Amino acid sequence: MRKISITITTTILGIFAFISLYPIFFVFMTSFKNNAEFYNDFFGLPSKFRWWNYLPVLYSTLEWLKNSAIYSGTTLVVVLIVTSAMGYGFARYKFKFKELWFYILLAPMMIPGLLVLPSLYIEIVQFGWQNQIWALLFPWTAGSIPISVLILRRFFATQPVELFEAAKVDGASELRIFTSIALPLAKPALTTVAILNILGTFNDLLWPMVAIGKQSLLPVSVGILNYGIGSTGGALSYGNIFASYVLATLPVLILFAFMARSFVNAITEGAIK
Amino acid sequence: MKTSKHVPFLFIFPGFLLLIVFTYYPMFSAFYHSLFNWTIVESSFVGLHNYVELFHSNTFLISLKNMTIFVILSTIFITVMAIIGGELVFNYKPKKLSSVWKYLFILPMVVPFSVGMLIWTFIYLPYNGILWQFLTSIGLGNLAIPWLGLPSTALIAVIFVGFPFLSSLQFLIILSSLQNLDSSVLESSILDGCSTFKRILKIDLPLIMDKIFLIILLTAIGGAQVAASMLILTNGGPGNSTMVPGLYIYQTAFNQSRYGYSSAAGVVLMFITLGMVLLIEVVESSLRRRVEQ
Repeated sequence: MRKISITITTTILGIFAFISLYPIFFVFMTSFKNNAEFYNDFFGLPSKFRWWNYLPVLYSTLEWLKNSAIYSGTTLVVVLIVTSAMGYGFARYKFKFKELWFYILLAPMMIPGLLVLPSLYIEIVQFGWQNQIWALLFPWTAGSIPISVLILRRFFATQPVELFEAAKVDGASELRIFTSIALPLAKPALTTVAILNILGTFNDLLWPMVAIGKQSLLPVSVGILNYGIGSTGGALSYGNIFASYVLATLPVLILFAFMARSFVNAITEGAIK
Repeated sequence: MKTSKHVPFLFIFPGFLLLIVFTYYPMFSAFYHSLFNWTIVESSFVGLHNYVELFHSNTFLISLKNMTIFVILSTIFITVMAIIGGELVFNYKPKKLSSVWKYLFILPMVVPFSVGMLIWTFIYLPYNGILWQFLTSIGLGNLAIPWLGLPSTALIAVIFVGFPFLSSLQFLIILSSLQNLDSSVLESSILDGCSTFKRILKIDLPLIMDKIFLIILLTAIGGAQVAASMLILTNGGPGNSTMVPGLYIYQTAFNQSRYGYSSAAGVVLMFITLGMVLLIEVVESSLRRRVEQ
């Protein structure tokens, strides 16, 4: 009885895992096929390791990835500075209307991002920021504030006050206490915020689509749409197209390989908070 | 020890400045300009005209209908699959392999969103797509139809994008809340001769009810605001069969440069979302009261 139920569970889970992973495996394998192999042996493995399939898409995909790295990386640094300062400010100090300010900070979580898409666009046009990193950096940072500050405030609130009082007696400034005591101890919470932020900006499609028009400046989330099925007008084979998908997937895959556990924690924590 | 009054202000000021300029200002601007005929160079007051036009627009009304279907079905499918997947992985023996399954299921999360949608376009592609080839190769050729390309099937095909929905936040939430349950309660139920299936229904699910409602809420909100995936998969077509309000907002603003009209659609969508959140919370609290009685 026990054995049967294990077999059934394994079968069901196996089918689910197969359905979700097979398309990715298929894309990876097909990236090494030529068109003849694609059409004649659809489900088969590539007969040769055709790495040159990657050449026609290499330059632009790497350029988009580089843009994404610059946009998401810069945003990450600014987000960590701004939101950790805010989280610390709310956790450690008492000031007038503190909770009211905190609700004002959280309120945008209830507002659909789509509502501000047109008005934010007009704003950055008026600032003259089209095709500039500022158009992504500032709205993305502002957008990340509610969830990030929520996570960081809770974490800073768990740090014992005695830690800071001692440093204060020794004459450390408020800023120094923050940067050399509170921040280094907040690494788990900062990791969570960082992963959520990177995933959010790296995957964002609509806003960079609106804010960045120039091909060579696109982040990979938008640029890769140039390699949609059928949108290359037959100039590229399926092998070439799928090669670009594989390249675009590598960065997050590598990140995941090194920190799978923090990755899972960040995603769950981001939702439950 | 006295702290200067300005210190907390300095810590929170930069963030609030960004919020005001890049969240609150555009939000109020959207509300305000929803009453205007608004282009980049000029704006003229039109009162409630945008809203009147919106509710006379066939496309917008269809988009609301599609959104309702999308929200209801995808919320049901995703929630049910998250519970099934979560329970199967949670109860998996040997325990050690349980986390292997978890990592297998969430692995597709590393694929960038856009690429994931392009892959699903390819799965549904007529003739050369994975689904088409698979169905014809197992003799189900009559099911090999252009799922995304027919008005009658496009919406349901879009709802199934991401199946089996285990590479998801929802699955992770259910699984982690099951793992956080008090294991002694679960063990004693088994000692009492309770079957696993009965234990899931009578003990697990009631105990994680709050998390189930959380994922219902998150999935429904996400469903109401779906836009980016439609843009890649179908661009609202064929006809308006997969048009949703989010995509309508995008198209009226950036294909037609009608920013005021688009903002009005955004305001409507916001109130729909808030109403939905309220509805789900009311259902949850009334359900809870019934359980407590």
